[in-house]
Amino acid sequence: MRRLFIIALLALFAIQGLMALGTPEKTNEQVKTITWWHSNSGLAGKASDALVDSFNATVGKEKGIQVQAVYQGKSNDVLTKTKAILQSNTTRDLPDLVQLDGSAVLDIRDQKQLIAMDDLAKADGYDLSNIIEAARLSVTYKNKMIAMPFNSSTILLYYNKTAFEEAGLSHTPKTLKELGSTAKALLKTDEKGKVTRYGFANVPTTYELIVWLGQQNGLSYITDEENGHTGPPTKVLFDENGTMVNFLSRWKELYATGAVENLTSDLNGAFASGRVAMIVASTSNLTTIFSMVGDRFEVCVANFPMVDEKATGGVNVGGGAIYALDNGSGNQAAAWEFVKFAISAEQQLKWHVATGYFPVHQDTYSLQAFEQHLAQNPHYGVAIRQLMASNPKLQGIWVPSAYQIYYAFQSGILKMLQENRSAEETSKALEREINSYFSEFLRMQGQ
Amino acid sequence: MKLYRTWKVKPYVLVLPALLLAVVFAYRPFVITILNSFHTVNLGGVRMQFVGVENYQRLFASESFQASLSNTLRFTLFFVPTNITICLSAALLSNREGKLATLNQIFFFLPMAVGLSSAMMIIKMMFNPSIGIINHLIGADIQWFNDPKAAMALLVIAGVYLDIGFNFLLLSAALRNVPKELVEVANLEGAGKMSIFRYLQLPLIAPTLVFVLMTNIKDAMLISSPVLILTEGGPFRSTQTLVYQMYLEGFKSGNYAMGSAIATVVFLLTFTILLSLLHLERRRVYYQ
Repeated sequence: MRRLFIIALLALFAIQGLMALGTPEKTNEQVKTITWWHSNSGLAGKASDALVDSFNATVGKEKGIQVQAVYQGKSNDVLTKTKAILQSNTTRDLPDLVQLDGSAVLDIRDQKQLIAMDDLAKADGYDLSNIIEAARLSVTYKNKMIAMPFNSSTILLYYNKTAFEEAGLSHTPKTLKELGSTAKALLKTDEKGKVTRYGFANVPTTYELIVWLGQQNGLSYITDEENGHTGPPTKVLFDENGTMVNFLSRWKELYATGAVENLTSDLNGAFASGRVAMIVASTSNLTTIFSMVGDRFEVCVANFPMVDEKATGGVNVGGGAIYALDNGSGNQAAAWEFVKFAISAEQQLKWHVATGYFPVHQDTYSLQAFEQHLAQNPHYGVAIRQLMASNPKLQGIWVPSAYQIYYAFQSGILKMLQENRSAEETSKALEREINSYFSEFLRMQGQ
Repeated sequence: MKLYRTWKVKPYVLVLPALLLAVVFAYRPFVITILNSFHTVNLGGVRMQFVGVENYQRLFASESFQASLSNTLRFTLFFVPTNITICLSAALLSNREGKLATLNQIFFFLPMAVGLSSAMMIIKMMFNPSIGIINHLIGADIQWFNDPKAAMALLVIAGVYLDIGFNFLLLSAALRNVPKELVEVANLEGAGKMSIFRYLQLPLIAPTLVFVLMTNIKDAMLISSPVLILTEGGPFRSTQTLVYQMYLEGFKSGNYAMGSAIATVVFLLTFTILLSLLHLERRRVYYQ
């Protein structure tokens, strides 16, 4: 009986092999298939499918290119899978295009399989100044644009307008100092003195500090090598240029109002439930937060508060970009056609309307349809005006051990608040810890 | 003569597939990990240079590792007693005849049938401070993911949930194997439930209990998946465990040497604890 079973199983495998042999190979030499790995789910997933469909039906059909979009999980998962292939050297399994977020840069930028978008654009005679400068610089490494910004976002202040009106507040905070007084006005406690509504909630870490440190004095770098955009950073600059101490002192004052909660996760939930009246979050959270809040209260957005009056640098561009990889199929030009289509003014408008990521193509901003959209959805306009007024050189940091650095900031700042350490001491401690990650990285690379 | 030879070859042939798998997936990585921990290894995973124990020195000096070490030991200390108490009580309470008891047993056993990730995702939703059902039910405002103590408690709860099915199964099988006659005799002699447990059941299930204890310690020392899904080491590194840090260093930061050093430390630590327990077991536990 068992033998019979084994024979049956073997037969089944054999038949499967035959079936695989019989699969018709793509005989049509004219059609090039481009694979695009992405992490767009939900609304963004639908929008990217629509983008691919419309490419395949128009430009793709004309030029004999078909794009196959593959959802590979969260941005992190996409990176893990791509890295696995890059390390195993099975280059032909690589996708032609892969969408990754900022944390992927370090792993991907020096790979020999990476084809810089800069080169693809040059080969096609495409003028990259069509892409807005801040977005372009956000993927520029050693003066070369290595990827194409695609799902770009910035940080914003979200506030509970109903609570603002209730507290008699007429305008939003411009600086951390004003944020403190506004938060205090929004603070609500019950009879027993227990806080029922905090004015603001946050424990600053990498995402916020890029802006709060970088915007000081017009523009300040957080690490050397221009925040890691010209090479691996060797040390942080926030202690010697005083930006960290300045920020931490202001943050201490803010925290001393008692209206700030040290919240590190589920800020959207805390905001939507009305327990916290103001949060800072990415523009890509716009749709989520609005739907979470529903009609419980009125949500509005405003510019991200500045550290102080002298911190005029504005905000940086975050989010993700599309990288082109060489998998030996010689599809680079075809892949570029799709990228060009995806960032065209019209497609960027559709992408923006569907997802809230802001358009990276200059011309989108002068489209009439775009102006109409902004008139109907003034919230989107806030983020865009804020970005346009920012210093395009204010950029995210490309650092090794990003997770460790994230927690170093978070726990360093918490320690300062809870153990009442000085801003200077905290800044020094952070410098020491983060520099050790940098030197560790360089040591490992044999530099 | 020929027959003799085939008999001699056969066992090796039979053990080959298992050995091959073990070599490829266990022994080779084990050796490579130890080798890596004494070298510098670049982003591409290539060993660059022998550095002796420098990686270990740096590791023990780093604040992040100290946090991981203390978190892991703290977790083990909270988790193991809690888990054993709960699983043993569950096994004792459901150790009776009847259909309802079977139903009970099924309920305790059920968590094993739910995949780890899905279970963790559900727990994450249930414990969400603002929209989760747990805070709503107990009428408290516990910040499960923002308060270091609450986050550790949450991790213990998740750990117990993950282990209860299997431990319950083992303990309840062991309890059933306690001869009924002995229990009856004890009952006739007027022994209370506590003394039956203390003097009869406990000694007889001791070997199983030691096994459960050992696997629990191992599970606790190596905990990472619930951390990965529930808290990601936060808030403020308060739930960053050793294996989670190993994952961060090795897979997120591409620092394979440090990841390997952590793995080696975890291995040695767990191994030592288990060895000393085994030693204790030889002296204190009697097998039937």
